[in-house]
Amino acid sequence: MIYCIILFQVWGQHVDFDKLQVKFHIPRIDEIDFACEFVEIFIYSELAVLYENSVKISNDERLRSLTLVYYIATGCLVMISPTESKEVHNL
Amino acid sequence: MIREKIIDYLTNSFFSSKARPLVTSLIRAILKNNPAETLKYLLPQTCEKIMNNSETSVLNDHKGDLALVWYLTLFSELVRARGDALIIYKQMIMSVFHRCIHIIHKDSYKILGSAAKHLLNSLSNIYPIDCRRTIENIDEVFIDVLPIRVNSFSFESD
Repeated sequence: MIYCIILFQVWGQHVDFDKLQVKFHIPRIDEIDFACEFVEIFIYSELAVLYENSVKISNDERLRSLTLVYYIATGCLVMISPTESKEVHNL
Repeated sequence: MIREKIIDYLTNSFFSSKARPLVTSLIRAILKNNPAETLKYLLPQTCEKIMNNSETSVLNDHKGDLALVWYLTLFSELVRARGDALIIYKQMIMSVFHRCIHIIHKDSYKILGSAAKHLLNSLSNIYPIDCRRTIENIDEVFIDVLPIRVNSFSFESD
């Protein structure tokens, strides 16, 4: 007997783990370099604005800088070494 | 022809804040399926529009500019593409950030911030890029395989 089934019924089927062919994006050196360059250019300039002109700048300007620092910091979080590592300890 | 219509639609329409999430989710879908080609046809045009619409007077305006907000939103979605597809547009991406980083309109700098976050995530994270499980090869030309037909297929219960 022939049945017609809908694909979502196949979703729950057991699949042999070795037969799964999931491809992953693994960052290459040039991609990491690009990310580091981006962080160095943009996060340090915003931090400098906050350090040097902390009293002079308006609240709006401070909020703009802090927002950008927040987004860039959360973006590059995976590149930062764990707190117990040597690199962080030596800072 | 369809590709040109999609490009025209996305690069010439300034969507309201309510319609924006719907359109950006569509962009995310086509970007996930074919990042290299989507970037090839959308990113250079978007960057060009951002550069043309971001004069100093616009960057220093608290009210913001509807067209620029839309192009920045589009840019922010496009940099979600895989890192290896983005790397060839490095100069273009950097020039947009250099130009717009000082924008004072609140929504615009938030969008730019999320673009920075998406870019860094795409470049530095490990994530699955193809986790489909289909029996047919749906990458073939539509004449041979129409992907929607994969949704229902017959099998013998015995």
